[in-house]
Amino acid sequence: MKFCTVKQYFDDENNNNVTNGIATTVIPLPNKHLKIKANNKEMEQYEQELLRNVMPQELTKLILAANYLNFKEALDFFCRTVANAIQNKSVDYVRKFFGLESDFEPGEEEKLCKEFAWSFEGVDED
Amino acid sequence: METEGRRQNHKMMSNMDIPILVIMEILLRLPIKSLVRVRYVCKTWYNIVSDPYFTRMHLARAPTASLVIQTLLSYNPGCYSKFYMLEHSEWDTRGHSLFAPLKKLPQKFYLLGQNMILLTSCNGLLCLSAIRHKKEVTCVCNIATGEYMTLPGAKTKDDRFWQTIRGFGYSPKTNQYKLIAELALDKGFCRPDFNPAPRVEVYTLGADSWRIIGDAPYSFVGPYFATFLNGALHCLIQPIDTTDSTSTFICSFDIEKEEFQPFPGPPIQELGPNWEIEHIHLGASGGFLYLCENYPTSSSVDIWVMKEYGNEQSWMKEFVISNTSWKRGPVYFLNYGMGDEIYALRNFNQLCAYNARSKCVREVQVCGIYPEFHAIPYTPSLVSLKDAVAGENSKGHIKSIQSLPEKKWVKKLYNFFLSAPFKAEALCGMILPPPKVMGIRLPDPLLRQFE
Repeated sequence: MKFCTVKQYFDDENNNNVTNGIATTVIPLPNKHLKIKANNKEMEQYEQELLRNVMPQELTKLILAANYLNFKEALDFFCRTVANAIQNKSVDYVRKFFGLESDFEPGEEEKLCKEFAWSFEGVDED
Repeated sequence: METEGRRQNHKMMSNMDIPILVIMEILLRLPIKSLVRVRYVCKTWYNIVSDPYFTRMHLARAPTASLVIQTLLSYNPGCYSKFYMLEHSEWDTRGHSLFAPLKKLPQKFYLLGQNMILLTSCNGLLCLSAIRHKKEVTCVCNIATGEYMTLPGAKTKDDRFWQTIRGFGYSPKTNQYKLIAELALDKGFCRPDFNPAPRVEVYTLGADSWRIIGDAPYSFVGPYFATFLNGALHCLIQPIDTTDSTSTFICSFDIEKEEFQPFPGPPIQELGPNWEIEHIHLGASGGFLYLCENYPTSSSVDIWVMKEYGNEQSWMKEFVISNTSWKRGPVYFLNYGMGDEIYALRNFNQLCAYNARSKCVREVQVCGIYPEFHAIPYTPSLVSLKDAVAGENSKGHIKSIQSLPEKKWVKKLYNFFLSAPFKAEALCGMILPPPKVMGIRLPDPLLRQFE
């Protein structure tokens, strides 16, 4: 069964890795997967719909949940979605997306940007 | 109120909240260009992306090849070429986009030398020849990491011998990259019927010099590069001894052991002693070896795939393409095994899409560049030359493309010829219609539904 950790989750009362909201999103996924496994298009539509209601920043929490629950398909799907969301975006956008801060020295970052000017061409607008 | 809540969410997540494993899972799914940029988000990300283990995992997930394209101006091949990369990840038609964009290689790349010619590639490392200080040199570089190194000249200093690089491969066991070259006696120096065994030299990336490993038991056929798969290079060959009646026409060269072995080929038509290289092409895609055979007497091109590596019985005739334009030159499959639509680069400059289900071949239009071009399959990666070379001393040979001294004339050249694409063609008397997009036109996704 895919959900070896689910049982553990319900048993473990001190669980703060997976909030209830996330659980309701992730857990119904395998059933849906089985129902519409054959038809890729339907799966795509279902996934797009699911994500329309989810904020980008929430995706990282979904990934954590899927990782904790050891649910490989969901993990792959969510990671791909995040990757698509940050692909071709500027470094600042990615930082804001994850709520990260740069810990580079001020001069270092400029130097690195110059080094790879090529990869900074054709970046999407934020 | 809602924005307050969202801002709260931002503050709640910090660098430590996202486990490294999760970051890695996300980064593994990014294409190279985004990866190169995104590593500057913070030091943790920089360390993850620069880790050789990560780059190996990323490479392992990218079995489909992209292309590096070199445009050729026919009156002076190699001169004023422009280089582009076409990443396969951009060809995903699920988004229903009709163009996969071409990306220009960085300006500094052109400083590697004059008359650059793409040779071959392995795991994201590009091998090319260039003229520097009026001498022809061979370089290995990685455009994603911005590193390059110049290879030493052949070990055999005899002017009668002509060095031809035959293959570029990698040994996962020893983490070494090696190039093999054939030292063939210049035909002007021997009797016409004299066909000696070619001397073979091997260069381990990072070493001070090439090593002569002896004479090959076979003679290499054709100008094409060996196909690298599973730690060995595979080449089309002919036995040296022309009285040899065995039907071996493929050999493998183990990168680690540096040994030639005969390799079982598919049961194709009986090969006479002088079969033509144009009729057969060996390649690898999606982890499988394939062989295209197109005899003049046959009206179609047969493509055999070796379903189980090393097992002679596993060669299956997988596709038969009755398209006569396929009958010349090599065929490079780019994404075999990745779905119904297989892209192939034919004859170095024609992209086609073959639909395995409908058995239809469609020409893929490349827009925005000079139509005469040379392309090689290439899998972009972040393999750092520093990790690829053997030995600490050799790291001194590795230089950064960014540090190449800029010559004013090159900058002028780039700004005039290269970034104003059609001025060059117009000057050469060629008139091209102005393209809307620089890239390849993908097969119409709507049409595909009706096949």
